[in-house]
Amino acid sequence: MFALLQAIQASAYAAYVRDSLLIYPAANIAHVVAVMVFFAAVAAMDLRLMRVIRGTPAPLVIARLRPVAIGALVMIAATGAVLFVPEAVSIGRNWAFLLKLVAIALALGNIAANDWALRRTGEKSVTVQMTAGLSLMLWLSVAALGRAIAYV
Amino acid sequence: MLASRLLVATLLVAAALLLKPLTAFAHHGWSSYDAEKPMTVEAVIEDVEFGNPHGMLMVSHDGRQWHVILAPPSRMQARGATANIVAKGKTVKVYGYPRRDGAAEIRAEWIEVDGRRFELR
Repeated sequence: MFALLQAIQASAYAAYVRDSLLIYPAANIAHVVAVMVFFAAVAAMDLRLMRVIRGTPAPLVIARLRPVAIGALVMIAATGAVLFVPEAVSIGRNWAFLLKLVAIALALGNIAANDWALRRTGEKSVTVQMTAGLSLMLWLSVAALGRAIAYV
Repeated sequence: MLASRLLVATLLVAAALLLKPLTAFAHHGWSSYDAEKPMTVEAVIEDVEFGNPHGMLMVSHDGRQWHVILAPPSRMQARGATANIVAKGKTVKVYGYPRRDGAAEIRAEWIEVDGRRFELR
């Protein structure tokens, strides 16, 4: 693992990002903006499933907003990789970053559980509402842990 | 509604937590550096790197080799602290804060090279 991180950090691409005046700050800004878009879409879907917001049918809300969330998530991952590469070794053993990866895995698993419950038990089930609430908490934890990387 | 009350409460707590250290942040930066013990080091630049997320230079001081944490390359450029000015072999004067844990690392507030002072924060 250490050798892999070291190879990433020593790569030509890592050197390119490290030395560029624009790429790194641009990726940093795009990362944060994409996080805002992602969480806005996630929050609207989750709050609808939690029945905090009502009116527009939940399947319609999800059909409209899931592509937005997926697009933003791809952007987040791509820009995140740019931020990771120049410091792969130190970030790779940063506990906030590792915990963030765990939280992302849990949040993605939670989406699968929510989706499964939605199809199996219908949108008014307790499981759907609980996983929707959990989704908000998990994604906010991911954001908090992401910001903590710079301070641990 | 419960959700909106929770949201307001969360935001108030977050604001309260943030406001206190915010003034300190603006002037003294990261909490792992001790702003109560500012130090000035004058030494020859032994090595320098202009890399993201922030530049770094190496100097010897009191028998130890110190890492001096600079600003991001884009800001260094904007302030005029370019690689041909902040170069290996030149004498630098660094004012900054040492790490609290005793590691030989300074977060520079400003550096002086060739008689020019570059504010880094």
